[in-house]
Amino acid sequence: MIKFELNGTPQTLNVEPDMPLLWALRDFIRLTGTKYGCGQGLCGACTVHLNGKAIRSCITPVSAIEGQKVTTIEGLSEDAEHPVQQAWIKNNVPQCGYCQPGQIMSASALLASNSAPTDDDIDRAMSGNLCRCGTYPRIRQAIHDAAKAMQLATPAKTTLGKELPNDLTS
Amino acid sequence: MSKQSLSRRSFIKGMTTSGAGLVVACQLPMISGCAARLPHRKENAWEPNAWLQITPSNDVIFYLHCTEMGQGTFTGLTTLIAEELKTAPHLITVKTSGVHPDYINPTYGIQITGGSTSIKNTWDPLRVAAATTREMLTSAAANRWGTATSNCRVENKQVIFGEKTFNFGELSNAASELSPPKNPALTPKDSYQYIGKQNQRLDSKMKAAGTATFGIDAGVPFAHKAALLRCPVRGGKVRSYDASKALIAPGIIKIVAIDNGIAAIADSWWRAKKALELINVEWEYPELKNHSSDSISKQYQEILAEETGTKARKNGDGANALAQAASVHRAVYEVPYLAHATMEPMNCTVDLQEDHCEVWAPTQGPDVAAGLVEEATGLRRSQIKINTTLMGGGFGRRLNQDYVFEAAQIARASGLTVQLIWSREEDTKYDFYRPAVMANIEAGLNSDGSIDTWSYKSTGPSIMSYTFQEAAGAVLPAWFPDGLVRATGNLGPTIYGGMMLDHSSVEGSQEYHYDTPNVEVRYAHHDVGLPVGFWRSVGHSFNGFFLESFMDELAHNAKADPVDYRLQHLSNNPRQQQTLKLLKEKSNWSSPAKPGRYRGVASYPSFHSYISQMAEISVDNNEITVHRVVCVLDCGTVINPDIVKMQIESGIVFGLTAALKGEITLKDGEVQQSNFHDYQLLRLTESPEIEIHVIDSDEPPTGVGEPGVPPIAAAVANAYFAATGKRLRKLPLTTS
Repeated sequence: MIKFELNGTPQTLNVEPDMPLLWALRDFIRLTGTKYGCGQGLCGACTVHLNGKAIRSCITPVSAIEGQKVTTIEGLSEDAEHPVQQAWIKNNVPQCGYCQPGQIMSASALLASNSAPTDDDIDRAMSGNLCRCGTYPRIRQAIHDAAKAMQLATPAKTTLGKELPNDLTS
Repeated sequence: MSKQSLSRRSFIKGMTTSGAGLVVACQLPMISGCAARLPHRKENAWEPNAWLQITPSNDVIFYLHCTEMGQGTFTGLTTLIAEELKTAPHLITVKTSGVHPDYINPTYGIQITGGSTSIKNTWDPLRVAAATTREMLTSAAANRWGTATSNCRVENKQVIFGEKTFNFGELSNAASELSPPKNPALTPKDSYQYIGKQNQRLDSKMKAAGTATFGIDAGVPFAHKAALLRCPVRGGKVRSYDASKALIAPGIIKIVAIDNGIAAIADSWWRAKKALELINVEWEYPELKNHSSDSISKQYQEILAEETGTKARKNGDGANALAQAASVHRAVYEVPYLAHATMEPMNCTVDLQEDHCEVWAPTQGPDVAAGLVEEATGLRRSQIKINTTLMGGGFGRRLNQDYVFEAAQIARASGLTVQLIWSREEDTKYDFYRPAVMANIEAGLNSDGSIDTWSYKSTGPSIMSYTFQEAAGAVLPAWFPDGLVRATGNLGPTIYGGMMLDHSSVEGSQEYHYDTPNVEVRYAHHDVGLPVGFWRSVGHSFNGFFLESFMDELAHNAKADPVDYRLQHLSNNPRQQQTLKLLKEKSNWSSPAKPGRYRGVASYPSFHSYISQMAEISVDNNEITVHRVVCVLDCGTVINPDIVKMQIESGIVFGLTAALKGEITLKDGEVQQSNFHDYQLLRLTESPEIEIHVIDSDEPPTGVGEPGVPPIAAAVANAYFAATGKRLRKLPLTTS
């Protein structure tokens, strides 16, 4: 029996310890937003967060998540409200859309640790996520847009640690 | 004439005569009244035609008969409906249609989504269908108010007269009693609210939220999962097997043999897949086992040297005119087999009952799927329901539906509701590949370097040989006995092995777009037995590379500027010429490139659209980096401007993967590549800056899903020549 936290809720799994998290999520917990693409950690379609960091669930055995926090695309926001999802919609990023949950999980993990990524930062964080539709130019733009939106939403701090108001015009 | 015989005739005509996108005379029927019941009929709803339903509660439902695989039909076709219903696209509920004769693609005679035809072929029928519906609703409202229809207007699912309104739902019963207008008025361009303006995709949110249901998700809640063990060489059959160890593996429910291998069925796909490792099989290998990539290339060379091939086109004196030319330039070009590598692997869910079968399939051809399920299950077509799901990429792969046939066979053999999922390795090794092709091209030149004679001869396998086999069930009449359908389908290789020309082998070369008095195009069929299929842009995918690289050779031979040399030969093709002229301006072609950067150009129409591209590259340690692509497109009227750009961006990235990376090779009949480590796709870091200019046009809309692909490999190869003086005539462009 493996116990972990899935999208903020306690979850148990009674499967072989070497079963990849991807298939436990899809076939046993029946969360299908996380996609199978390669089974070898080569394409990123199965990306989820483990304690906030992007991992490939197709090569992560369930034994490795005991006691940890897992977030899938279903747990990222209520109604595609996460700034990354909003930027994806605004920029018309998805075409077929199959790889996009994985792209969004990689991008949101990047922005959680780096609020203003450069193009090189984006290259490093996103080069493991393949997209056969070739949405790459829009992914890059959407990440920059999401970073800006998150900076505006997160109160900037002065050197004294005092919070500035969100809307400087008010 | 019955629907079926019409389908069959137009299918065969569409597949055998010239014309990338030949349109047969039949139109999609405007108003229902056909004998076959529509697949989604609802009680109480008004169904003015096969695409629209209006419910009493004012739901306006659009049944989308073209599949959504990323190319944007979900939004694009809805925009056409929205314009004529004068109703915002997001207020229309979009559902996928089932199979019905009203949904047949007139270019091909079967219900397929392909050939960049969805907008082109529905531009008139969908607008007429929606305008007819709008006028009937308006008449119904005007009758109730006792006023003229000219006093009423329509806005967002309402008919309005002064202060009074009726919503569509309130009018649907009365409207259904009226006769449809003979000539409904289509909205003029200057009044468009959505066409040319609607930019937001309607499917973005569900795809960003992770709630979009793809084929691979459809069976999860209710179906057992199946994995298939196959012969290492495609087409091999099971001679004998021992699955006793697999049967006792965790989660395994059943193990069954089908034509293509041994299926393990479990409560989880991972368990089913793992159990396959415990099965011992003795295979019966096909003839393909005797072929490897090196030997295929040699066979192609011999065929081009020895065989005259089938004539596809001859103008003037054809190749004979070469003897009179001031000089002759010759080159041999070659491309490998390619896999489609859709991100969602092949899969299909089948619920088979005694007298009914329901299928959930990511398919580009649901009627072909129905024909295959009929054959696999022994049911009648009327007992089979195909649900087309969203799909994680198509690119032509899901026109060939071996995965549907296999899933139906597994369901029949096991008696279980099953979802078959292919692994990435199977998806790579058991594709219907883009054909490997070799071509000899010769040009007879005048003393000023201009082209007097252009002669082309290619060899490779024929796609139609394979497609004919699969599609037989969909195109032959329903009363044809199964055995006869199979026997007819099996004639495919004979018919397309020499009796008939498969146009897809020569498309683009047969319509050679430059002014030349003498043209000859020939094709010699040769097939080692690796199945081939429609791969985004099909024959254009290699002919774009061949023709536009060779054109660059001729320009350099003539010591002419590659853009100006092309423009000189495009005086009979003004729309193509215009894209190239604008490209010259937008790419600053006449100014030198930045130091260390080199530019190449290609100009190649396809799918009734006109397109020119410039690639800017650098070469470092023999590595090509593509920095920037500028593209000019004329696709007639634009429905959704941003989707047009998305499709061209997508085509360029797809084409760059083929230009720089893609290659499927055979060793003793086995495909050597298996996953994304050895069949690599372009990554974000390698994706260039892309700039697209779309020419404003009042012409009817034409294809955008595929035309971005064909020119890009040539543009990059031509830039490489500009950088190094070395001509690369084989894909992928390896520089060593």
